[in-house]
Amino acid sequence: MRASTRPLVFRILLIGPAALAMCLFMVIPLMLMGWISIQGRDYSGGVLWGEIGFDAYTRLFFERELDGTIALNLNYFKIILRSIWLSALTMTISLVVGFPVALFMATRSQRWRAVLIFMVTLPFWTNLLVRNYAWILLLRDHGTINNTLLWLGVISEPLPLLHNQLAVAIGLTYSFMPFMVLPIYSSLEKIDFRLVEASFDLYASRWQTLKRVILPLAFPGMVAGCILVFVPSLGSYVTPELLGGGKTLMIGNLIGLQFGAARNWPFGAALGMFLLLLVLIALTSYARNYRTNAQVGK
Amino acid sequence: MSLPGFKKPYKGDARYWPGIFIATACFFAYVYMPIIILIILSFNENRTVTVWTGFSLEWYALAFENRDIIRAATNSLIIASISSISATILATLAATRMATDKFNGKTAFNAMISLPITVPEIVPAVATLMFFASLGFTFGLGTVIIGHTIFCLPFAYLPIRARLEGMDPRMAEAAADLYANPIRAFFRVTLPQILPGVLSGLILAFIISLDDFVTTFFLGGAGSTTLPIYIFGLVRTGVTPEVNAISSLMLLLSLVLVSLSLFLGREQSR
Amino acid sequence: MIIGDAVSEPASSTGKPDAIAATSLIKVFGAGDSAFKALDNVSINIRQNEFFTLLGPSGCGKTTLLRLIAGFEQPTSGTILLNGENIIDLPPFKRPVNTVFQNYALFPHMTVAQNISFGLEMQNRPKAETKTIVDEMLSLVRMESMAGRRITEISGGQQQRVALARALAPKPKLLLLDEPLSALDLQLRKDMQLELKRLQLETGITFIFVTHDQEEALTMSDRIAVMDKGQILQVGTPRDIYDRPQHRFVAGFIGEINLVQAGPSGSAGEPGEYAIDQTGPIHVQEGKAAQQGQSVTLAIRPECISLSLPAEGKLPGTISTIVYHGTDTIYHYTLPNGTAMRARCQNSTMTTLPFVAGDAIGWSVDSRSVSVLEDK
Repeated sequence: MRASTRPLVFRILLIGPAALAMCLFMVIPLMLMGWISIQGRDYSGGVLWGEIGFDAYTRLFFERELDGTIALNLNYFKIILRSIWLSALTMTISLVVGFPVALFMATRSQRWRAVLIFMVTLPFWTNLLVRNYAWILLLRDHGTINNTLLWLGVISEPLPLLHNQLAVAIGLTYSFMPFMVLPIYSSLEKIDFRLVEASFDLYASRWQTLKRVILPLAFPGMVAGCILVFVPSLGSYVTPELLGGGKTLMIGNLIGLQFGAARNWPFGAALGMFLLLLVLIALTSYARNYRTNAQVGK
Repeated sequence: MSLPGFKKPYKGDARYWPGIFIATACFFAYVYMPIIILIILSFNENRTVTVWTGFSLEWYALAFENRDIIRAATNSLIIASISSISATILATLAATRMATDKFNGKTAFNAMISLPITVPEIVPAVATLMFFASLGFTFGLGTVIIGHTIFCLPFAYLPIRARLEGMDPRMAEAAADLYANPIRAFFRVTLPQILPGVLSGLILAFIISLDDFVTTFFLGGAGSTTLPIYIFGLVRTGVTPEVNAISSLMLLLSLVLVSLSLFLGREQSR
Repeated sequence: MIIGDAVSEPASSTGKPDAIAATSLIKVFGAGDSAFKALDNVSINIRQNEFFTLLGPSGCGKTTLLRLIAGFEQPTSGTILLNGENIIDLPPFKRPVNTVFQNYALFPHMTVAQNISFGLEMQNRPKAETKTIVDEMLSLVRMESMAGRRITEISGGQQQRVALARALAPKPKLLLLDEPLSALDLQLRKDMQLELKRLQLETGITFIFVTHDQEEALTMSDRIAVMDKGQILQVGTPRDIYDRPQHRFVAGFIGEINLVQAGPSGSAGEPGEYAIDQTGPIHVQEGKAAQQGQSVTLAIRPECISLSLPAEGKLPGTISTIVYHGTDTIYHYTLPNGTAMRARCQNSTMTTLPFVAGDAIGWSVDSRSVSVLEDK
């Protein structure tokens, strides 16, 4: 529906504000972050413009000793590895638990499905902070779990369940598992169960049918779910902050630290770029395998 | 409609898979138990929080009297209102145009507008921090509102676009055919039909803004404390029962709003 | 290949400008490798107060042409005059043209009456006038009792009538109908065909009707334009199109047709005289003289063929199948050269032909009922 050049003006007028806002407050800051990552560090917080260097990036792996020599410092790298490890763990657990749940949902009647979808979606919209806080209540030395175990006589001293990798892992799976269920459900829901019946008819056992018929059809959803769990886990801030104590840092916390106590903006920017890179890798490997899926949705 | 745990399932049933019911039950227990325990404990009489001694509304009362909490709650509401309304207006304008014409910028725009959901929140939060600092902005309510608006845009946008795509494209042509110029066509024909999507997007954006922590934390300044920031501060220093009360209230609020939004979104099935 | 120009009729002699005078319209979608030419140099003249039909298979460009007239698309090149005025640069909401869409495109959030009054409201007509016209329209399409109903509560046929009323209410100069009956079931369809014809006569508005159903086109139209692959192949009255197809495609698209290869009869060949494999002659009125060695295609309607016993002056054939159809019988027969033909003979107690499969027959056809086709 158009006539002459009028719509061009309308088009710009309408999309303009949104696009402009996104450009100005999202795209440009991200580009600025890249630029800052190679600037000099102002020890009182901020940036020393003009002092171009890659110090921030080398800091990831190396440290300048007091006598000027460069030594390998893998502490930061360890944090990065830990982040990747925890995110991968979260993703795997979510997948293993999420798949049966999605299968359950896909095999219910219409009415039950609507209820189940609602119940799975609901936690996503509640406050992440509050949900992680709830785990503090449970995992503390005198939290619900320890108290219950003590009361039952199973243990005599409280288990250290909080402020370690275990707690963060629990928190991450808790925060992001619903993101795995819905995409898998969406793929499974499209399956015509007569295919399953056909498979049974041709002498396949349940396990074989699962492996050869259902899993392949659910695969796109599984991959989508993995990405949806892995990426936010990787950049998670709240969960490791609350449940990890100061000892279990992830990339997100490390970045945040540079803008707080550590006062190293360029380093924070470099870490940010690095995180973006990891996310980009994850997304492109997904997009390359499922080009059609990349068009859908967003 | 039967729950397979309750009746012996027929072996050939394509919809029966051993173990999925147990897995699902465990899943939902895992997801909801902590929240339920939190809510229960918020009514705990005992100050040490995790030892149940009796039912009490004391902590809720305290929460409502606490000046800091009231201020934080007010800030949260102000920020959420302004951000969600701005985001929804921008999103509605953009979505209408995106749905009707085919043009080259479409994929780019879609990719751009979903940046806040794809990228981990910490990254744009600190990037915007540096951006504002370089421009010399003072950090406070204003910066937080801007940050929230951007972050909420995709949440407002997606339900509207979904609704638009379900709409017959010929509808807009029919309106033009009947002498309505584009502006009148939008207000008389398009808007009434996407209204449920717009409202749904508005509510979602509101919830997202209300619950946000990371962006608020980094873009905030003195006097821009919101409820999540306040809760975070309290938790850092130690667990107190007021936190349980506020947390439970926030959960309840989310529950109500989400139900409302999903209900509005479901009207679509015509 | 027939170019639109050569086919369109001259402007009407009443002195009034044509309702639509389109010249050399070209519409290309896409670009480069994926470019698709929907309309290839189309010119057409549609007269005032006529019921004009664009007929053709899917993808022939008829809907594109309609949308160009309505203003939803811009032509790549060419002009369109409405009552003598150039409307190319006008957006659809400025053109005094209204459309009835294929799936009606009724506004679901409004009632029947509100839908009908929409165009009038957009024209800022006074409330009283609007009300009068809406009532008028409701009785025109016989939906008086449904004024307050929501669109979702009425049936498909009723929706169709509301769509009509909505488009007629602003009293446009031109009404465009894009396959409006395709979603209706058979009986309803036939009823609506009569309705539409009646409406057109009553209101006097020029109707441009798009369809792929040739029977529909034949029943309702004053004139038809047959289109294929973005071009107009032939324009004429239903009778012209049916009796005298000028194009192979047109002949095959409308009704049943027999297509026979024929060559000149005799050495010098009289004008309009052809022979089929040296048998014949078969005469074509208004036929041109066949040249030596030239081969043409003759188009003959099955109902125009007369069958008899083999005789002098009749063309030879052998019956292959006889199919009884209640009102008539179709005799499938083959010519000596293998061409399959069919003759449709009406069943009446007086003329029962004594043929069975395998019989030799003689067939003939009136010279006025044979058309010579140019091969595409």
